[in-house]
Order: sequence, then C-alpha cells, then structure tokens
Amino acid sequence: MGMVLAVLKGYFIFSIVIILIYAFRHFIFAYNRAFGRQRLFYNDIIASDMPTISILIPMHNEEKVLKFALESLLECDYDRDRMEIIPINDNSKDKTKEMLDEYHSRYHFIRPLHRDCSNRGKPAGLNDAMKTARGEIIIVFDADYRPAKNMLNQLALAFLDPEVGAVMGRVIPYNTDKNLLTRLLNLERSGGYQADQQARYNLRLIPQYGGTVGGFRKSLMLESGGFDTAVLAEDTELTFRLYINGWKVVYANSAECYEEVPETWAVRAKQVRRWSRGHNSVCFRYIIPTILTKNMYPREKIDGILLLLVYAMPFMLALALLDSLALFFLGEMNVWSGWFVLLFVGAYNTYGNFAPFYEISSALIIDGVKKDVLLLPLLTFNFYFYLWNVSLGFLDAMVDLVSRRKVKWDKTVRFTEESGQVV
Amino acid sequence: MGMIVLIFAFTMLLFFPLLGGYVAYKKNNSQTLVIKQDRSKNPRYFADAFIKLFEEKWINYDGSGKLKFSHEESIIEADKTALYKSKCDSVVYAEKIDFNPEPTGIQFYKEIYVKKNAYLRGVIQLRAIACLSNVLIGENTEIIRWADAQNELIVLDNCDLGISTTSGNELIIGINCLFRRLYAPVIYIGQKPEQKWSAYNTIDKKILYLVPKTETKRNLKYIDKFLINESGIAEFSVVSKRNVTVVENIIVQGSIRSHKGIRICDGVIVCGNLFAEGNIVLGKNVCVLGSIFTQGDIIVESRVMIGQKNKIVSIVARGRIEFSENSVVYGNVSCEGGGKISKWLE
Amino acid sequence: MRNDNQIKLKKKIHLSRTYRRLKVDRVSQNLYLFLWVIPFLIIFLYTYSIITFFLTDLAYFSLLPYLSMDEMGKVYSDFLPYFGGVYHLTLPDVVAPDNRFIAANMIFSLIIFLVCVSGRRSGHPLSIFVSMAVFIHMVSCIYFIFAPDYFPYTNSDYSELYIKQQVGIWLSFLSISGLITAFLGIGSIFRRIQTFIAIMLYSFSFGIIRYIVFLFILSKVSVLYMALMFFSFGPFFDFLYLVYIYGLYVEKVISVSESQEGKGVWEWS
Repeated sequence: MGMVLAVLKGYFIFSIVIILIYAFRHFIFAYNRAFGRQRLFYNDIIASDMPTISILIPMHNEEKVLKFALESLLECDYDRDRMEIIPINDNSKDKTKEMLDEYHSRYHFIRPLHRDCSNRGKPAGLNDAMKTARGEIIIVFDADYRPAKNMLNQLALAFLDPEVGAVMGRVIPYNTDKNLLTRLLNLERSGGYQADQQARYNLRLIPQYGGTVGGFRKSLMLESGGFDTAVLAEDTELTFRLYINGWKVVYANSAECYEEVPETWAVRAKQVRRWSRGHNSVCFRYIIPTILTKNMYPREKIDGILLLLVYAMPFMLALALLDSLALFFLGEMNVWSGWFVLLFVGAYNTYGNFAPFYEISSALIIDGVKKDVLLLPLLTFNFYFYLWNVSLGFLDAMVDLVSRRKVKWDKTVRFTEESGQVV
Repeated sequence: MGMIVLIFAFTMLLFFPLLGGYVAYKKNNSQTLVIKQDRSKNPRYFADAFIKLFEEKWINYDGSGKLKFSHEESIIEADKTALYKSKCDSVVYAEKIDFNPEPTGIQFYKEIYVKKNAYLRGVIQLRAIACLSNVLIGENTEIIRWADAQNELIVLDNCDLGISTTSGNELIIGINCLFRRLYAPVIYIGQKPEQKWSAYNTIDKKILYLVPKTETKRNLKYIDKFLINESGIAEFSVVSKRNVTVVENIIVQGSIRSHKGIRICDGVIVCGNLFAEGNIVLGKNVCVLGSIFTQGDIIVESRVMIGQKNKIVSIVARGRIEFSENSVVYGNVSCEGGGKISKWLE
Repeated sequence: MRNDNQIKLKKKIHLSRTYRRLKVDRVSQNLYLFLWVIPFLIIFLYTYSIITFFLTDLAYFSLLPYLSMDEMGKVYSDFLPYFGGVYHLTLPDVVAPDNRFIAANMIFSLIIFLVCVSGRRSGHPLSIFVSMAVFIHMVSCIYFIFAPDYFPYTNSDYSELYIKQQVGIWLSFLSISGLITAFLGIGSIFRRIQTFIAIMLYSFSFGIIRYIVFLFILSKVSVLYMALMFFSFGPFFDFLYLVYIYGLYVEKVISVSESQEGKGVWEWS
C-alpha cells in the first residue's frame, strides 16, 4: 500500500511540474509576441528569380467550393510560367472531376490529378501529385481556402533561404459569426498563430508546418519517401522529419488566409480526436530521434519535445485528476490540498488548442480584436472537452502503436456551401 | 434566511464570469479579421497610389484651389506659379512645365506631383514627390516620406531620403545620404551621375550563367582554397551554425546560410543568396548575384555589385545597412534600422 | 500651419498587425512588481494565519444559527514551514448517509449522466463537464455503499482541507494575477492595481462564502457531497473569475491601444 501511495503521490507531483513547465513556456511565448523584437520574415525581399511552384489542392466532393480556391489562385501575382496548380480529385462522387477538367481546358497550368483508387486520403494524394509535379516547391491549400493575391509569393520567398525546408502561413477563420463554437475557435486560432507560432519563429524554436497554407521542398519529401500514409498528422510528421534532418520550418505571419472552422461540437470533437491520434503517433515515432539528433539546438530539442507531448498532456492531466481522486479517497489529500490548485493551471494550458488565456489575450491585443476577449471564461468547459477527446485520440494512437492497425483518413465536414460569400 | 442569501451569493459568484462571457457573446457581433485579399507587393506603391488618387480627383477639379482627398487640401498649380512661400503647405501639381521651384530654402509640407522633370536644388525639406519623368534632388535635402521618378532619380550628397525612394528606371544616390528603402532596376550608390560604375561591365559573363548548386555542405567556418575546384569555384551551398568567411577571390556557386554572421572577403563572387542571423560584411570588389537577407546589419565596402542587369534582387536587413561609395544594386534595398552611404576610407 | 514636430511623426509607417508589438515599459513593470505585487505576496504569506483566523470566525458566526456552539470549534493546523499554520473550524462528526439516500443520489446521478451522453447533448463541453462531475459523485456513492466506515475524512478534516486549498488558491492567484498584469499588461499602474485588487477581492469573497456554504451542506445535508464539492466546484471555478477580470482589463487595453490616444503604445517589428 505504501508503494502505491508513493507512486500516486509521485505522479501527482510530476503532473504539476509538467503543467507548470507548459504554463511557463506559454507565458514566455505570450510575452515575446506582445513585447519582444519580432523576427523579420522574408517578405521584404523582391526577387525576379523565384522558384517554380506546384500548388496542390486535395479535394473530395468539392464541387461547391473549388471554384473559389481556383479563382483566387488565378488572381495571385505569381509568374504563371513558374507555377502550376494540381487539384487532387480524390475519389469524388460529385461534379468535381468535370469542373476541374473544364478549368484544365481553359488554363494549361491547372493540371488536375484524378484518383480513383482505394488508397484514399491526403498523404496518399499528395504523394501521387508530387510525382507528377514540376515545381521545386510544393504549396498546399485546402479546397475551401481563398489565398490572397500575394500569398504564393510570400510563401515561395522563404525558399530562397537554403535552410528552409517548409513554410507555414496564418489561417484566419471566416465563419466566426455562426455560433459560440466558431467564436471560441476564432480566439484559439488567434492565440495559436498570432502568439504561439510567431513567438516560436521569433525565438528560433519550432514553428509548426500546419499541412495547408504552407509549402515545402519537393526534393526533400521525395528523397525521404514522401508522406507516410499511415500517419494522420502528416504536417507534424513533416515538421519533425525536417528538423531532425537539419532543415527549418519558418512561419509567415503576414501570409494570411481564410479558412472554415467546424460549426458543431461533434465535428470539432472528431477533428481534435483525429489530430490527437495523428500527433501522438508522430510523438511515439519522433521523440527519441528528436532527443538524439545532432541537427537541432538544445532550445529546439526542448521545444520539440514539449511540442510532441502537447497532445499527450490532456491524457496525463486526466490521469492526474483520477490520481487525485484516488488520493482523496485514500485519505491522502490533506498534504496536497494546497497544491491541488496548481493541477488546474493545466486547464488553462488547454485553452485555445493549448494556448492559455494570457497567450490568447496577447494575440487579441496585437490583432486589435475588441470585445471577444470577454468570451474567454466561456472557453472554460473546453478544458473537459479537450481532456476527453484528446485523451481518446491518445488512446487511439496507443492502440495503433500496439496493434499496428491501419489508419483511415477522414475529411472534416464542410459547412459553408458558398465560400464566395465570405469577406 | 442568512444561509439562503449566502447560497444565492455563492451561486452568483460561481456563475458570474460565465454570465459575463455569455452577455458579451450575445451583445457583440463577431469580428472576423480582415485580410486584404488584393494586396500585392509593389515597391513603388506610395507614388502609384498617390498618382492614382490625384488623377481621380483632378478630373473634377473646379479651379477653386482646393481638392478633397481624405480631407480637403489646398492645391498650387506650378504651371501658374513663379515663387513659393518658404513653408509651402499645399499639394503642388506641375503638369506642363519642368518643376524648378524658386527661391531656395523652401519646405514643402505636402506632396508634389510633376509630369515633366523636377529639379529640386535648394529645397530644404519635402514631404513626398511623384514624377513621371526625371527628378534631381539637390544636396542637403530632407525627404520626409517618399520620392519616386518614373525614369531617373538623382539624389546628390548629404540627403535624408525618408521612408522610400524609388524609380522605374535608375536611381543614383550620392554620399552621406540616409535611407530606409530604395528600389530601382539599377541603383548606383555613393556615385555621381557623370561617373557611374558597375562591375557588370567588367565581370566575366560566364559567371552570370552559373546555376547555383543546391548540394549543401554543413557547418563550415571557412570557404577557402581547399574547397574549390581547378577553376577556383566552390560548387556547393553552405548552411552553417557558425560564422562563415569566404576568403579572397573565390567563386561560390551556391548560397550561404549562417546562424551567425557572414564575411565575404575582397574579390569574391557568390552566385546564390546570402542569409544570416548576424551581421553580413561584403568586402571590396565583391559580387553577389542573388539576394542578401539578415536579421542583423549589413556592411558593404567599396565597388560591390549586388544582383545583375535585368534581374531584381534584394538586400534586406533587420538592422542597419551601411554602404560605402561606388556600389551598385540591381533591385531593392530595405532596412528596419536605417541605412547610410558613406565615403570609402581605406 | 503644421509645425515640424507634427511632420516628424509622419515618418513612421504604421504597419499592420503582423509584426507590430507593444512598447515595454520596464520602469512601470518593475515598480508595479516590486512595490505592489511582491510586497502584497509577502504580506499575505505572513498574514494568512490571521486571515484564516478571521475567516473561521466569520464561518462560525454564519453557521451558528444552524449548529450549536458546542458542536463547533476553532483549531490550528500546520501548513507551510516558516510561514505558519492555518485556522479552521471543527464540525460535528460525520454520520454516514443511509443507503436509501445514497441510492437516490446514484439514480439521480445516473439519470443526469444518461441525459448528458444521449442525443445532441452528447459530446458537448458542458455535458462532458457534468458527466465528469456526476462520475465523481457516483464514485463517492459507491464508496459509501461498500466502505462507509473507511471514509477517511470527518467534516473537520474537510474544513482543514478546504482552508489549505484556499490558501493555495490565494497564493497562486496572487502570483498569477501579479505576473500577468505586470508583464502582459500595458498602460497605467493604477489600472493594473485595480485589476489585481478586483481579482483578489473576488477571490477572498468567493473563498469565504464557498467555505461557509460547503460546511453547511456537509453538516446539514450529507457528507456524500464532499468529493463533488472538492473536485468539481473547487479551484477550477476559481480560474473563471481570474480569466474574466483579466479579460476586462485586456478589453480596456485593446480599446486604448486601438484608439488615437493609444498609438504611442506600439512599436514596429
């Protein structure tokens, strides 16, 4: 019994320490973004010799939205001789194929890739498209995104730097007025990009490639065997694959692009669970290589480890709460009651996709978003929401690891039928 | 009764923050951040935007001496004006004549728009000038915001060039000038109109066609004679955690990226780009055919060529850029910390 | 006519949100931290014993109409080394709830649980929160069904547990609200102090009232609710007002920084 109690108490202390480390990390990020010197991105560069780019747009039944993405891309100010657009029609059952073929007949540089095979999913589609892509740089957008005129230029500029392996832009939700969830997700995105990603770029840590509104060097991916179709978080996987091999990911805060965020809790739950499952499987695979690699600075390793563990945290926190429940009923809570409060600091690390309230506040000040900061208390219950769904994703990843089962790609449900109404 | 009050107070205190949040949610509409979808990089944006706005307003000009932009401004038509007040607080428009304001010592507090040539000798200060032909800015002039010429823009010594100085064709800037941003297909820096120098005229043209190599060597400190082939060329790019020095008279057929600083010694040619976190120093007679970018400062010694004819490159610093006289840049110069052109002292 | 200074101001290009940042005012940050937050924290560390003394008195007099004087008492327990212990109220011993009461609670909890996990409510954050609270309560019910004699706490124990937890909350909140208003705030020190005081006043009021209400429930209703109160209505809810009051402060900061008056707070890249 004494041994059990020691383990329970040890885990309790361990959890509090980890939680405080994350809280401190995000405090540094919030402070750096609000007051620190901002690291210059490459967008002051004007160069006539830009790299050739292939824009890949994974699509599955996108007849209602694809025209907005394609029309926006056609408006972009990138030299058309140096770009091509490859919409990846992944087993669509609607009129996506016909519409894409029609675009192809009008614009030779729009070259759709029609996939009609059992191997569905974003990573598999990207792999097939990369084999036919002519550009040195691959830029990925989702079908409902509407890139601004200078977006391609901003993203491609980063690759003039020979060390940059991938670049990530900022996504901004456009369907914020739908309901409370979309309002809250807007806060999360603000904290996650304006503060978290930019601070990591400033501090030369690990800004994360997010899988869309970003790009990477094709050669690096092809040399290392393309995307792993067994991984749901291909973006996180790419980030760590690059860092471990001595490449960097950079964040372009000025490369802003609208996106649609989930409008129902059910869809959000599914999305978060999938992210957690994918992220944790990347964590299992890359945590040791991250520690051992000689290509990363210690500061990058520390940030990398914390980043890899971020989706394991809610599970650890759930265990800590069960742990404290056990300690309570075993009559051992007396000693810990003063510190019990610190366990809930963790609750505030899960605010905004793990951006605590003060990080979101910093982002909102920088973004100049009035009033919405008062919605912060309503994010409270997200703690339990994330605790549950992210923990389920963690358990999924554990089962994947043990059983070596094959993962199935699932597209996030779209809500906006006419993205053109946006803005 | 007392306990009922306490339970009520407890419930209120428990839920008040949620109630506050909910009221804020109901009361205020969401704010989607506005992205300027049509924003495009235009180094001559200030002049182009001003000219567009001015031309739109001028169509309806009624000769009253007033023109409404964001707010009403007084207008001076240079074609009908011989002398200006020493402190001119009007927008000036010169349509059919060369703009050559008299007397000397004028301060122009508002924009100047000239369709022919502009000769601004003896002007102490001007806010901004857009010109569809050539501009000459005399010595000791201070530009507050921007200057742009469609053709040639010449700036004589000891000027402060404000935020942006651009040209559609050629920019020639004398010594002891301060700047923030320069742009032109060719910028002669620390030079005079009658003595323009560029290494482009003397460089072996074969070098211009060397394609930068992407094969990368990591963590080098020096690029020296041990790393070059028989033609004196280092055929690789470099990514290094350390300060990188390229020793004299080597050709680097690639780009260099350092997590610290970069020193390019005299006579070196770099075919690719230079990227650094620290300071970049370019020695005498250096040619860099690509762009240069640093989070630190850039120091450029004499007779340096950056970029090449008919291509645009950039030299961008988070900190300062210091040029010595007789250098040339094909494209864009930009620095957050301010730039300076000095006389070359051996 | 404009003077030269007005023209000089125009030399700055006002960049967009992408790379702007706030000016650091180290003097006011440090003044606020060293002359207000840290002294406050130190004073609290040396006075929390006295605070709990008065808090216990307050609880005593509030509960007097419902419990007799003989049933209650004030005792002192050790807490943090160097800073002293805490006072708390002692209450009558717990009588384990009878099985019918527990069964009623179990059934009620189960119904709530089923409501939360069924239909459209399933997966909603509030449903998950309530489900977890109900889960804790059900664990408590099961405990009292199978091992009522082993329940490790008396009401007095809980009282002690609560006071120690509350002092922990106050210490944490003094530190957190001090740090966030010192380092993640801008503008007048007065506004920061206002925010800090508002958070701490709320915290003291909430902590005291909750203590009295919880002790009342335990003494007069049932000890069965102890776990639920400790876990579900404990520190998690305290963070709510901290966030809300800080949100009000940030809201003011945003209003000022976005106004003409606040242009001076920004620096560029």
